[in-house]
Amino acid sequence: MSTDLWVIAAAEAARTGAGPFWGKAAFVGVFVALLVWLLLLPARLIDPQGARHPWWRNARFWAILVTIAQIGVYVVWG
Amino acid sequence: MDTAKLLPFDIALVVAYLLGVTALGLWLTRGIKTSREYFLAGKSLPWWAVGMSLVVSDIGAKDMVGLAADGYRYGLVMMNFDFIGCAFPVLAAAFLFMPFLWIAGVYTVPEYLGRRYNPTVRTFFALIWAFFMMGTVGTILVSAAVMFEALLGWSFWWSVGVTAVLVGVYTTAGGLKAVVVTDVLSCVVLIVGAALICIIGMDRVGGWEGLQATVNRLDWTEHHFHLVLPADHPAFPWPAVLLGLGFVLGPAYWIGNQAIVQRTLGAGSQNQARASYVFCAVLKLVFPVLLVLPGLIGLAMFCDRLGDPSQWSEGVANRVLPLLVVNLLPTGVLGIVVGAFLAGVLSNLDSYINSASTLVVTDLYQPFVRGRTDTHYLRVGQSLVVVFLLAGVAFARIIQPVFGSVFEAFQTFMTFFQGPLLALMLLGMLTRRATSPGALVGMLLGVGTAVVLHSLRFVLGAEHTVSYLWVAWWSFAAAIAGTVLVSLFTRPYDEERLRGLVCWIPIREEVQS
Repeated sequence: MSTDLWVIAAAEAARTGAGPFWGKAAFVGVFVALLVWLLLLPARLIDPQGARHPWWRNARFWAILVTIAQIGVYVVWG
Repeated sequence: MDTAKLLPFDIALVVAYLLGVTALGLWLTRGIKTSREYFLAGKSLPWWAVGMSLVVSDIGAKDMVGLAADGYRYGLVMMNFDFIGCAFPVLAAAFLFMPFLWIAGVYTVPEYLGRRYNPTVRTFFALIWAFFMMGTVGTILVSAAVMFEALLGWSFWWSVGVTAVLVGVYTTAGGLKAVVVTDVLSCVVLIVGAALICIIGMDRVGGWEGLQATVNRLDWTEHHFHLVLPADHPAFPWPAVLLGLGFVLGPAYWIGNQAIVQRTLGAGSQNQARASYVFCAVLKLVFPVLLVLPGLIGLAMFCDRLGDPSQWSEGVANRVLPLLVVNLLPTGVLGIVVGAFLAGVLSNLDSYINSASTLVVTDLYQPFVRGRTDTHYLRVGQSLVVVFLLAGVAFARIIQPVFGSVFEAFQTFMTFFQGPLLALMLLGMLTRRATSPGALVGMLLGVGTAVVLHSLRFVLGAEHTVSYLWVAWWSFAAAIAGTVLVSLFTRPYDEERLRGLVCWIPIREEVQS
């Protein structure tokens, strides 16, 4: 994103009463990075035996869900 | 002062909860014959029990009353302690550190550091943690007494006596298993109690819109509905929250705190250890709401009575939650909520007592008193639970008159070590190159940096006070820099020495099986 767009976005965030733009972006960025890491984590690192679990027993699925929820929380209330 | 009047039905609910917890704890003492069964529950705990135990071990009386008061004072920003300060490090730990520590087969965090670096690092951190835990037991007892005095009008000795005796009975005999399983019951009661305050309170203030409208009418609440505050905010500037809390204090707590890590080491398998942390993160989506929202509800309901927090005299902060409880809750619900407060206190106290005993036996007793039978170490561990409780009660009595400053002193003391501890753990687990001399230098540099930054306000004046979040961050950065620099100039360990201690060099499969 160009500098101008960042400035417009920051002004918009301030106008709508949102928290500091860069701060919000940084917090959301941390969880986005965590989300990417969780998505790319090799399956053998999670389960060396390579067993496949249904979604409701899959720790990675729940971790991704929590991370998405956290991104939503910081986007809305950041 | 407003205190709640418990009617017979409320008292019956509270007594039923206390009897239930004690009976459950005592029932679980059957069959404990080895130190492994006592300290790590025989590595048999299910993920859901560990996950719930993790959550309630993190919440004490100070948190319940304190977070409501801070919710009143600062608003949603307090939820960062459970969001960026918990969800982020817990999820990272779930997939990287916890399964690895579980496989390493250690009982304590200092034990890992001792195996990775050397016995000096182990003893240093074991002494720090033992000292901190002893102090924490005292502060838990005092903060519980403060809460119950404000809430129910109980005397200091009545509060301390009830909590110490109940926790002592099942923790001494049942070890980690009794602690974790009773924590499950406490977690359920805590969720129900806190949810009832939120639901009834939100209904009273007209829902979310009503809450926002009332709070926003005040002239000092412009940031109350934001999680991220400006970089020049005096208490919670966002860079310090992100770096200090999110990258140092949160991870140090969830990866390096013995009281937290120990229950995960007692999980039934590597996968159960991972699942317990993920489950903890799921529950932690709800808990900040349950603990901070009452503060905002209190602000909407009692801002005329309590006023602007910048004008508060000592003790006013402790009144936010009791005011809500007394004025909101009907008979029956009040009993459940008081049970929830007791649940928080018991689960917090039993975790620290049990972990302190484990840490002292494993890191400060066994290395120096070798060759005794396993039963001997088990008995020493059980005796230490009693010793820690009695010491905690005595300490609580001593610090009661100056509790605020002692509690702050303990928290400050720990920020000196959290950053360096995390630095050594991360470098130890993630890199092959970190060495013992590097760790020693990094540890000293990190602690030294924290002491210097914290001392600035005494040397240069109050206007140069450095936020504890910044102290944590810079002590962590100094420890990383010191460890890396010195390690690069010292001889690296060979791969066999690091097997099972560095994430990328796993234990051989035949050893695991």
